[in-house]
Amino acid sequence: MKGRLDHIGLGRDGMGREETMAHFLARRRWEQSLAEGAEALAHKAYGAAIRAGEDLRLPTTRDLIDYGIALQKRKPGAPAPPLKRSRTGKDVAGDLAEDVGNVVGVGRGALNSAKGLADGAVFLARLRVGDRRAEAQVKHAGGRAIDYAAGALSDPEKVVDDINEVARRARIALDPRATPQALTLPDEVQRKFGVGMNQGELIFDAASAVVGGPLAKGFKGLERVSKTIPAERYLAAGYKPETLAYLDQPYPSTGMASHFVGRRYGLPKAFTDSTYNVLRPPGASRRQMYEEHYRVDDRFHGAKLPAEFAQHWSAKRLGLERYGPNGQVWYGSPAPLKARVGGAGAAMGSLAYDPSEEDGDW
Amino acid sequence: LVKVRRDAEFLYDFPEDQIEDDHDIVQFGGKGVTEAIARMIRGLGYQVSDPQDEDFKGWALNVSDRRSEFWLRFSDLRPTGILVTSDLTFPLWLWPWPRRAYVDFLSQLDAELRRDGRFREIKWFANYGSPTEVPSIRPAGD
Repeated sequence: MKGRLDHIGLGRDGMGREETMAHFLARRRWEQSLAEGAEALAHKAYGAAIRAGEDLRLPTTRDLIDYGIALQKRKPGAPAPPLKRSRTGKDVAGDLAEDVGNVVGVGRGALNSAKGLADGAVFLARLRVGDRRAEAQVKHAGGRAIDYAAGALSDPEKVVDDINEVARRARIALDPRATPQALTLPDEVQRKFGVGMNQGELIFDAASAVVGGPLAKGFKGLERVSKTIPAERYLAAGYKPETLAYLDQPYPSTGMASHFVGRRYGLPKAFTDSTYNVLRPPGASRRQMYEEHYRVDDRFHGAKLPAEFAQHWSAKRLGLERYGPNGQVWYGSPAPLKARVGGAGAAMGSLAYDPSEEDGDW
Repeated sequence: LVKVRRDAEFLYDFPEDQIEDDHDIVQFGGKGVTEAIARMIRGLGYQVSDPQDEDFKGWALNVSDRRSEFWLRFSDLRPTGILVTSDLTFPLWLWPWPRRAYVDFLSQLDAELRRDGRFREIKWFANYGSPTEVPSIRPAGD
């Protein structure tokens, strides 16, 4: 390659044949791109060598380019130690592996997040429909947390040790300098790739925590009431017009609204009464709130009204039907929870979805 | 296999205790009935919480003893009252059939409601609101 670079000229190609201007320009462009790539790679190797304290002698630009070309082609005999055990080679390849690991790690973070959120959604759904096993898991986890807190009170040094251990593991997982360079290039590539993946996953998690929280909360208020039965049905069921007028008033903002996971499960108030668990469609009337709550909560049957009406809101009297288990989960979950669990698409889907188009016990 | 009917409907003679102002309901009615049921269950030897305000849904009680945890909610739709119950006992989720302790609790509660002269026409439902279900006078059994 050095010869080709030294003797470039219009006239004859490498086979001694006459070379046209078009062929010459094409060859020149190819050689320039090769040289630029080799130079960049060699510069990176040079920097790595300096950081590693290695004496890499490349006195001229041509030496640098030749070294880069050798790296590109993995040619034996390049002016450097054998790549497999070369500290510089391991640095270059390791850095590259770390960069690739970052990208893969971001993907792994997204995948794990999606899996975790899906698991969370399934878990909440099970809890929502009264799955005893899910309830038991919540209580068991709570019990373990209480046990740990109780242990911490009696032995606070254990908490300090635990925190230090977590920090130590995090440093090993995320900082390539926390562990020694591997002996061989493949092992070093593997080590740096693993660290890079951990870094990438951390990047994803941090970004999604920053973006996901406010985004999910931004969906507060995007719930809608899926369907409202016609006023005529109330009148046909014997409700007086003045009762219907009261039921058509907006549901009070101070009302308890509808909880996705019922308060009876004793989960922390921070979650139970949060926007992630309380369904409060904006602008919903009293009857819309009662109807919707009935459809998603099989433990609710009717609501008391002011004494002046001498009537109660009764699902039985109106002949309302509930959603099936899936519908109860879908319509019973607030939009911020959907946004957090299923992504924005799911939340938007809840707005676009029309249950009247759905047949059967969904 | 014992069939359990976990929800009850009854008539009752209790004073109206709903609190309203000029505009709306301030506190939903039914607290007094729920307190009476709580006293009844305490008399059976269970630990019972104070009635918990669940807004338009009614008033709830948490009931427990050494082995069991139950949850009840009363909705004051006078003259009819609706009492729904759930067995939230941990960790017996592996047990696929209604637990004996739950069946016993409902049977004891039914007996107490009948003993108290303020509750009448007590009916039990496995699936309250179902248009096809025929209620029973007993919470458990055929």
